[in-house]
Amino acid sequence: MRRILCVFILVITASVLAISSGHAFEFKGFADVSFSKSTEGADDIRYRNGSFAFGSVDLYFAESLEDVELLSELIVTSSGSIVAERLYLGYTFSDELKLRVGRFHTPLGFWNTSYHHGRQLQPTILRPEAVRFEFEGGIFPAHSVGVWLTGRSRTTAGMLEYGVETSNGPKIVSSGSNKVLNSNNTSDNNIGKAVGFHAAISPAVMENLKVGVSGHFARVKDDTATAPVMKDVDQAVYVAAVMYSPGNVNISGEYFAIGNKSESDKKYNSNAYFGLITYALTEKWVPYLLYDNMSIKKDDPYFKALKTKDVTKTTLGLRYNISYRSSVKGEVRAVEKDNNDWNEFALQWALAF
Amino acid sequence: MQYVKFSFVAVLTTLLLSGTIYASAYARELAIIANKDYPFPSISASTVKDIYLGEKTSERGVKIKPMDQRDEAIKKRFIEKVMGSTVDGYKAYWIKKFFQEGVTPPTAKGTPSEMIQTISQTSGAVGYVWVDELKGDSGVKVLLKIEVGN
Repeated sequence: MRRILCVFILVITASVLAISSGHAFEFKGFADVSFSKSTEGADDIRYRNGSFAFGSVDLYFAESLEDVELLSELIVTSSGSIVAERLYLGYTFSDELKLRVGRFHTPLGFWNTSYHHGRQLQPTILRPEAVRFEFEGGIFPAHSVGVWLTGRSRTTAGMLEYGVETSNGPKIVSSGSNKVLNSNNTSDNNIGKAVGFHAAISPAVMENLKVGVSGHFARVKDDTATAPVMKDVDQAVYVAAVMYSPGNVNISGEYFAIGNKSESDKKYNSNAYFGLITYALTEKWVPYLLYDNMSIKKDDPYFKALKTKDVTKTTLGLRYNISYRSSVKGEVRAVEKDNNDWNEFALQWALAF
Repeated sequence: MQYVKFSFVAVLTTLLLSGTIYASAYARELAIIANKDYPFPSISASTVKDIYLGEKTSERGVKIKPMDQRDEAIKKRFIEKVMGSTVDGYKAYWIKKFFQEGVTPPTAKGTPSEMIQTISQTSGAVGYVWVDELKGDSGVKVLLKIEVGN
């Protein structure tokens, strides 16, 4: 109740500020509700019965005071807790150089920074396996806390986007009976800071094409008090991403190469990838196909700690845009995970407000 | 008979030509205007697009502040002809852009005269009005004129 009151006060304060302030101030949000059902074999048996669920309510606001900017994003989860999703202060030196300090979406690939909790923006209901959130058993830190230098520049070759970041390295913590990644919001549990880079280009000769590479390097420590599966793992993740949208078609894909090195210097290489095709029949109707694959080394202590399994998923869906602010998506998925296979059916109504 | 044919062709040509002249005479033009501190005397259509998509936010140290019209007719024409998008597509783009990067969308101004006045008084401000709404020295810099049809 107290948390709901906090959010209410925040909304009122922000609205008053928006009305009274002469600055460029915006307050927005996302919400979604869904229904899911799976057949025998699914790893979450609750969905065999068919379940309605409200997703998360995403509230975010930004204010620009000349060159200084503030962005804050709060998530009210379905369990009622409030999570500070993003919070950063930024300074714009120029379009070529912007500084952001705080908690931000890890710039790894395109998907993670493009959609995140904005279900209305996301072409599909679920995120691809490779970019699942930490609390869903994600294999990379979707969030980072640190410093991010980024920029873009239009050159004769095309639009260039680039950036480097350094942040607290993630840790593995307990979450119920599972272990999940955590982005170390307030302190780092080892001396190795995570570093990352990203670069992308939309060539001038083909502006509807965007290709990019990114990398993230971190030392990850299993911080669970009882029975840690591993001590330290030095992780290097490289991502190649592409997005091509000629006319009504949109094709995108991302490939993740993951190298983990254990404390005994043993190396494990795994990979994950996904490809998505959407085709806008009209502005309202958009069918899509998503193929998702993750192949991990079974004896890798990092994936053992996170209980990650090999998975292949094919999703066929149809999106109906009620307006530019709201859409309904329906999906059928064929899932194969760790020698089990099953089907899933899902509907989602998403809204941007 | 040949005279009738010739007359028919001549009348048709005259009608077509006068139609074209009429259309071009009444084709409306949008003016891209800016505060006088904008560092360049002119601007390209692709730079206008970058500014209104939030891709370009500063020019030679001047922070650019794009402004939209509240009037739906001119806004629709600007978005369709200059931005190459639909009104809904433009709005959806800004929801995404604001969420991803925290870049705030162009502020909206009520009337053309209000927009001209605000731009003349705001450093780095950029906007658009119908050319015929600019009278004498409006205190703004005209960077580009774009014909947007009838």
